[in-house]
Amino acid sequence: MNFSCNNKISNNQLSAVIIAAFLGCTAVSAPLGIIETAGGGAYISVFLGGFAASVFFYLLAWLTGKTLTDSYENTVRQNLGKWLGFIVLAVIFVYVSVYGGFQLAITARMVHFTMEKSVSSLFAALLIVFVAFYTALRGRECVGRISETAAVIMLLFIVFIFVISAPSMDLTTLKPTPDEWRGILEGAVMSFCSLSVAGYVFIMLPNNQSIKRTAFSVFLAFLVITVVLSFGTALAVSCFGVEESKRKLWPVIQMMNYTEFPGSLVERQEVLMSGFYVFSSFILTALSVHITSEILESIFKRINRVFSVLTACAVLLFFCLTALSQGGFDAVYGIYGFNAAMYGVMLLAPAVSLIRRKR
Amino acid sequence: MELYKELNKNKEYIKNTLYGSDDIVFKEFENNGTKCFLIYADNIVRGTTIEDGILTNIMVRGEKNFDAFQMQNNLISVGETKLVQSFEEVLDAVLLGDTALLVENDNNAIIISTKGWPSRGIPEAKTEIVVQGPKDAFTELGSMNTVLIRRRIRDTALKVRRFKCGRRSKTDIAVMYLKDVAKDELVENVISQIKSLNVDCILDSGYLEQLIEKRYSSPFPQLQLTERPDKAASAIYEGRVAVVVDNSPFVILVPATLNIFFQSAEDYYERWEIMSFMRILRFFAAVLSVTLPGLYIALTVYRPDLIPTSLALKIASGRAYVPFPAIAEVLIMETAFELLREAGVRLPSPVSSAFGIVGGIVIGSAAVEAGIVGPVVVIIAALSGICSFALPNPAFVSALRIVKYLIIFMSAFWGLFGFYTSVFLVLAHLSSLESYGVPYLYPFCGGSVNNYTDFKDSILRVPLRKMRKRPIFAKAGQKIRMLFKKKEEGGK
Repeated sequence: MNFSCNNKISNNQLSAVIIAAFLGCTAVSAPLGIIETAGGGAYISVFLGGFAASVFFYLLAWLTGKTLTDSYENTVRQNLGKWLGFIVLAVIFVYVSVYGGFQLAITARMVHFTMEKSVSSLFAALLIVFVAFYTALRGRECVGRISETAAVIMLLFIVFIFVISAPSMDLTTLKPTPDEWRGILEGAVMSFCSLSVAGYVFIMLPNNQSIKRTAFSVFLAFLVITVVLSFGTALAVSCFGVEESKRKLWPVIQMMNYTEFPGSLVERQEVLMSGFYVFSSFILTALSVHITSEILESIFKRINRVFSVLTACAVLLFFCLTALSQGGFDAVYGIYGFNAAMYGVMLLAPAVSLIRRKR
Repeated sequence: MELYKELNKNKEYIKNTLYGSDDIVFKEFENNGTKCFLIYADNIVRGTTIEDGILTNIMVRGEKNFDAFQMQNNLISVGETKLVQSFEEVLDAVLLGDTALLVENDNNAIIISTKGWPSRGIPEAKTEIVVQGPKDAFTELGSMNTVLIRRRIRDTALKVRRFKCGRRSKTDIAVMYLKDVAKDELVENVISQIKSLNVDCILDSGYLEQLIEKRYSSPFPQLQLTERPDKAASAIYEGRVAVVVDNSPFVILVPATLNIFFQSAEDYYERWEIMSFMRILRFFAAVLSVTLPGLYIALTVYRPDLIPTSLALKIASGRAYVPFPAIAEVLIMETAFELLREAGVRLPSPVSSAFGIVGGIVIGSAAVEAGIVGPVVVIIAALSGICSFALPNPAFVSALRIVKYLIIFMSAFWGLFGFYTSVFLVLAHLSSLESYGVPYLYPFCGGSVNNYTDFKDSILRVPLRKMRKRPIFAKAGQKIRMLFKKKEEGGK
């Protein structure tokens, strides 16, 4: 009767999901290696890589949207058959769980080290998974709506931070030297790769008639992330300088500490900034759990919703604990190596569908 | 069970069924030799109507031996009458304040509308007070409430669907809506929800509200209750449905979103600039009332390094002699505040405000002097309480009061991380709620469905001239509610 209760999200909500879920994790992971590679021109790398990723995702969304029937899972099963479809869905399930679990591990560790020493990483992860369980259980619309709210809050917060930080920027550190351009281009590739993990969000593409609009929403969302990250990287480099930024684990977040709030209302602002990151992580975890639970439900038709979400949470938590027990984040960043292969797997069904239609 | 032709059998059955009900009056009389039997409930009927409209006409002016149909059409001078054929209909009507007339050798009974319920007249609004705007409020009389709404909507499209709910209470329910504006599915959904209820009684609209809410386990109200006829009428104009429940001075408005609970009737009677400012203030107050105590605990206990040094020192010096942890401090003050609020409700109104002020000041200052709580906690509790009073809907405020404790406890256990987690949990819960197909967080979520036009009446209240379109609740073809000529707008 109305526009809700249909387990679908609008184009705007899709944009919001992408922004809310991936802005946080890319803000943490993207600039770290890029500053090392590109130096003072890291922000250019972030922008170039991000823009390329936005265009890439536009094409991907358009292609996927064009071949989508009622849902991505059904498209896979219809085009690849029972067994190959099962294998593809299982691979996507593991990939999303691993990525979600590893990002959860980063958040849990950040909570322990930056936000609340008394909360152990394990407990932080458990609490986030509990909240994700509740959100995912309520369905796709709930994930879409909370992302819409969170994305607006996060963007407003970021704009506020940028507005008060911008006057103190030292622009001389941001001017790239001619010998840095090679590094900048390498950094752009890194930036592209770090954003490309977000590809699995296409499983949530709304099945509607306006494929171009949906694809444009995806493009816009990644462009917003790109602009925010470029500006954040520029701010971090101008605050710390290139050498100091390289030594920082999370330069964009730690940069907050050097931002003067009007009236000195708050001290240690980076803790507040990590709150924004935690919010993003809540949504990313909920999104991962939701997607994997839907894959489970499409594989095992008779599975109960609560059970599928619980199973998805358990698997995600397992990978999170695995990452936490590693001690460092090398394993976490290692996942980027699988991206190209994953796109091959994810695009298999849309490609087969397209070929069949042309015949 | 069908009525008999024999009056004696009917009399016997009715008297047996109503045996022990001393407030039921049975009167036997004759009309030119034809026996008649009149039944009504004492004190809930209008006596003059029975005497002048029924008895006098039949006993004095009756000239022929009329049957029930002829009496209804020729003798009884009361506007609303009908013929019924079953005992159930006769008994239901009598218990509702109507009068039943049975005639010898006729298996029809005449039901004559003689309702004369005791009523306290039209009162002034008490929970939704406005400075500018109508002062009248709904009463316990359902029929009066429908009149109060109809007075404001003189449109033939206004429909009133009446039926009864409650196996034993047989409470009158009236569903009111604009036929061409409200969505048909919504109207049918509301009516079917109410009709599907199999309960003993519906004593108040709050009772019905909880029974037809989709997520009854949520503390947040998913339907709106109002005591103001102008608010109900305005909702109907927007395409919403009003449910009038007899015996309740509150009318239910369906559907309801979070945004609606921040709107006051006054918002539309005064200028948009000040009312937009008030809206922002209300949203800000809601956030503060929920988060302030939790944030205080998270910051003072776990992260004092986040507070500016001078303020942190002041808080620390205030707490130096307090023997309790911050959570206990906050809970003591919050509980005291809740008790004051609860006691204030029970006291007579002239005393309650004085009691609230005196109680608050005395308890607050005494607690600080005794070293039980720090002065900052008193400010935090008072500010949180005052903020909750700034919100126009009491049911929504109650929900925020509950949520506040969740945030307090999670902040106390896990500091700033607990605070963020609890806030996210509340947001997730709000995102999952819907009210009859409309997302609870609309227009903040899903606003694109109506091209974001409903934002014009959300955090800001734009000028009335700019609110040309009806909100999302209205039918697709009925979106325009205001039309202006270009010249009227200064040639724009």
